[in-house]
Amino acid sequence: MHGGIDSALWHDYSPSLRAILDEYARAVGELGDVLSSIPATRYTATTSLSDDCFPNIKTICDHVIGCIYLYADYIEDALDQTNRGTREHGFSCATLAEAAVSLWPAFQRTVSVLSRIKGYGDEELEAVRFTTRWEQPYDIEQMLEHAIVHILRHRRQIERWLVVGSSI
Amino acid sequence: MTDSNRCADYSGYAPWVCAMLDEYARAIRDLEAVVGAIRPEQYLMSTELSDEEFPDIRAIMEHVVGAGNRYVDYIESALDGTDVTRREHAYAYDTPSAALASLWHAYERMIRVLARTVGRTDDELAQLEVLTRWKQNYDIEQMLEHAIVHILRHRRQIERWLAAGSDG
Repeated sequence: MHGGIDSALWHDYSPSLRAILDEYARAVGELGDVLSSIPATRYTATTSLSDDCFPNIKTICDHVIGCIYLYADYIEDALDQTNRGTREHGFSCATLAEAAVSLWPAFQRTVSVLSRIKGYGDEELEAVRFTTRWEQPYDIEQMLEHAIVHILRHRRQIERWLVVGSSI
Repeated sequence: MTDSNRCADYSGYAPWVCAMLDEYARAIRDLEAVVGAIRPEQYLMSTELSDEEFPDIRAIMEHVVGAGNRYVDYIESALDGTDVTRREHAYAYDTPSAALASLWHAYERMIRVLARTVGRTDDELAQLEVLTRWKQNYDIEQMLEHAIVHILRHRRQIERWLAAGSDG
């Protein structure tokens, strides 16, 4: 089990995809654990690390959840050889608990998109290439690596915010 | 908040580079927690998961250290504007602790090479391309993401090997 999701969902995927999804789920679970440890008052509090992009932990969470969907959208478009553009994933989680829970349906959508290519190994994942709206070429393996590290980086960001404390 | 207890200080690097190096160190520490605890006989045992590429945990660790150094080579070549040519790294470690020490050495190399990013804008860095031997283009951020996830995947692999046990 990873959080609210059973890894049996991807037990019949390729070894490459199982490894990536296990580590993606691990990263999501670690972020969820951090969110679960935060006092409710910290969720919308500003800190000395706040900026226009991320005034509080809520905005970080909304961003992270939206990006999980965004990365799955890129992979889906690449598989369909189309570009549907940016889908609206306007998340606004009212509470820490809602944010922690909302991570898992987002992750599950990635699992669902990858079910279309469940037999792909590393070489096949690297052969599906596309360009993001930030003009960077990616293949599917790179996109999934980016997705995992995106979670790691924002978990680290939140941990740092908790260390410096809130200013209100 | 760099991993300065163990490694050279990189707090003056760009925030995204610091984030990557922090998470890279965290991934290595997680691997260290697994590999550092194994018994000598487990280091060389074969399991039902063994194959020609990875007959034992020693082979996995030698691969991980070799890859860790190659990722530094790629980034160094991109920052220098030189062609990527494969440098020979011969790795053989009789003990888990020797392999882990060498992995931290590769990480230190990464810190030193990334010092050359200081003073360059994000846009300048994004223009630097790495073409790997497996014919895939990366920029430096993507290469670091790949390096981090590579550690995660092999930590998971070793955890699975330990769970599978020995066939003697």
